[in-house]
Amino acid sequence: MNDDERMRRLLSDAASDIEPRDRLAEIRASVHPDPQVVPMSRPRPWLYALSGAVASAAVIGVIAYTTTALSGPDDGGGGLGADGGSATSPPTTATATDPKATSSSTSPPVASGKAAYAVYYVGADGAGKPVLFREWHRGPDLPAADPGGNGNDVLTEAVHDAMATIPMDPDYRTPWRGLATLDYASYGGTGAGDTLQIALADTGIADRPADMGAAEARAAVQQLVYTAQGAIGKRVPVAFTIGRKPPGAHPTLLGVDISKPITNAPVLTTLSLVNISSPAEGTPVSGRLTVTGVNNSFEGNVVVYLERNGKKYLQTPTTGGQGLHRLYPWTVTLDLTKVQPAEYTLVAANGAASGRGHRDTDTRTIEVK
Amino acid sequence: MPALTEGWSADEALEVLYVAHWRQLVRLAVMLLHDQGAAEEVVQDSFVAMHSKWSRLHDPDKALAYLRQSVVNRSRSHLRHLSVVRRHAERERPPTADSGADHTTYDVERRGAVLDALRDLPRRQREVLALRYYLDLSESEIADVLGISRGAVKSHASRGAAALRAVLGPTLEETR
Repeated sequence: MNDDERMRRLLSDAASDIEPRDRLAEIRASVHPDPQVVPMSRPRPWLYALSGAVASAAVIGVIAYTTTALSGPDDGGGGLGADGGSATSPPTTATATDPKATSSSTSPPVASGKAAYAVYYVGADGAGKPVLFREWHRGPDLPAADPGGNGNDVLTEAVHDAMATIPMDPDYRTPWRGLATLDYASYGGTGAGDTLQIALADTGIADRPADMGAAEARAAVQQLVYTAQGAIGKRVPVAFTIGRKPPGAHPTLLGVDISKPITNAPVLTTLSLVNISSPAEGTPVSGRLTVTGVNNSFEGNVVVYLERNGKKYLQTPTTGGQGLHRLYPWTVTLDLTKVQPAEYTLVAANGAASGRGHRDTDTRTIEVK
Repeated sequence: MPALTEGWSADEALEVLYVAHWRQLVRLAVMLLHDQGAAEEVVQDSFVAMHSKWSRLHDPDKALAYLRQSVVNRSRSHLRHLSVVRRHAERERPPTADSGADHTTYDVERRGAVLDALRDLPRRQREVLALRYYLDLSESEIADVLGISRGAVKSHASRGAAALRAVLGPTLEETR
């Protein structure tokens, strides 16, 4: 046997164990997206796998804005709606507990029509690098989302929150507080180059403050990009303006180039690779608690558990996913009747990949009744 | 057989090419990516892209060439993402398929060792070796897929093969 032949055998042998999953149905469905997608239909993860945020944008928009609050814009996957399914519905009473739970253990139900929207904040990954985490907010004062509208109310509210509202989770922060304020955010629809506008009041924010790192500055700008895109349900570029000057008058924002509209940076380098969607921070819970979130890790592994005084309880492994462009939904149910009522830290930790010296985690403080 | 295939619709081409090449292309992508889930996604995306370009390809051979190129390019950009975010994620072994009773641990280890060794090669060498020895492409076909000269294919192939031999010396002997 000559060397070439030996090499050939070696490689085909090496691959012989690999049995791919059959994906023909998904491919077929992807090339013929059902045009009849209606509100409340389940987002189809494969559709968004096409890095086709644009292709799927119309579908997402519909899902995001004509449904009740229980199925708000679900863009945390980075593919806008990429989370798929209901697993990552915003933290309304979806986090609630079994029917036997006392009423005090659940959040008040969300009135139909009140919008839930995603707000991105800066936090730290397992290595301490700034990454974005998504938090679901609800707008008590918002009018019902207009199915035919462009979601500007939600957009303004979401971007405003991202800049000025203290996140519910104390592990998150917004670098914008005390630094700059929102003038307005708007989206005119598909005409005019299809861009989002975010106008910031001029408070000398073209350059990066001396005490802000470059990574933090990039995260801060991306925080607004992701939040705005999530609010309208489309991955379109964002044109930043400062101080009501024309676009391009200020070529930088916190030192980040904004001379042209900028789009979202890649999901896997920008977002936390694990993110709890529900329950929300500080939620009182009891009975059976459904925890939902998204992740991207080796083989999708994530472990969810409660922690108190350094001890771990109810460790529950599950899987989200591992892939190219997005985060994947996961859901676990924890039986809280097995733990003493107390305050716990709910932890979702990505499985450790060998060679990666840290674990990405997201946490919530919850009160088990 | 152009006469037979000329009239294929994009859907028909998709079905036929899927049946014929899905598994092989995923395996190729696993060699390039060392990650089966990502490999499946890359190949799935490639099939979808091929379908949308069928009206221009219009020929199964061209479509297959397009698929190969797409898989290589998408694998490459996937690795670029990873190299930034998760330099080490791909260092995990791909999930080994459910080992049947006929698979000895030794077989599994040998296969893993080959995939590991491929992973540790420079990207070009890995691509050239996978295309040459796994897909059995000619030098000029590889040059087309990778957009490099035949001379470069040759030199990447010989350097890559030498590196593999160095790492896998004993394993290579086993396959004699």
